[in-house]
Amino acid sequence: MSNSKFKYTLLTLLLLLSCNIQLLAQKNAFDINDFKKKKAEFIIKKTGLTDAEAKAFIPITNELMDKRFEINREVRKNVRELRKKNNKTEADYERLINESTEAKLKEAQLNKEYLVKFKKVLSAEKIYKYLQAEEDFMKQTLSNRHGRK
Amino acid sequence: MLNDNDKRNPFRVPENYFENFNLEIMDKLPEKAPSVKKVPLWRSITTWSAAAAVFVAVSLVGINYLESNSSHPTSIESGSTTDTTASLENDYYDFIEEEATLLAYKDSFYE
Repeated sequence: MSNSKFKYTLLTLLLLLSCNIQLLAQKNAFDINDFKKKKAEFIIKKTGLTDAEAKAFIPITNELMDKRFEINREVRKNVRELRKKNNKTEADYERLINESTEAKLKEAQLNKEYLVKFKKVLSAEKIYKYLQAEEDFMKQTLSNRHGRK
Repeated sequence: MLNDNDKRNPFRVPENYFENFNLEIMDKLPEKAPSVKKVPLWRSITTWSAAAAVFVAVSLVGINYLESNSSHPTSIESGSTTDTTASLENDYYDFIEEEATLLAYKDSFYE
């Protein structure tokens, strides 16, 4: 087989491989906006929100989730760094436990703050149903992700 | 002068010219050109498509295997996505996963 023919075949095969990888990347990449959209749909259905309620309420829930994410992200970053460190000092361990406790506290405070905002839009019954629906959706997402593998 | 019968032939031929003629000509001929065996076109197409299909199949199996072992949706393509975008999505996923796991754990209390 001539040299140019070999190069051509090699190129074709590499192209095919890159296509596979693209498919894999698309399949696996976590789309935040898609996730939020699916969550909103699920919540509206399960909680039985009217259009007006949904329009007012869903943005607030997304805001809360983003803020919880930010708290979580900071802590996760620090924990990851500290975990990598081989010789952890007592100070490092203390930092780890303090930060995770602080994060939980901050999150609880955020929840309380947003509960006040929720009450301005929804009845207590619907807020309760919403909280249940949110939990169900999270668990469902987790099992879907694992189920696909 | 015309009657000068000089039997000597002015033209000379190298010795054994005609005897060796055939042999020398054959030596000087180019070697028989290597004949390119022409494979029927359809055969080469089928062979290459088969090879490509096998390659794709093997790589898909391999990638699926790798995918099933990892629990993170990692972005493999490095061309377009910046590091921060991929990291944000990964972090968000980790956050969701962590919350969901905690919820599932709490559920187990009530089973």
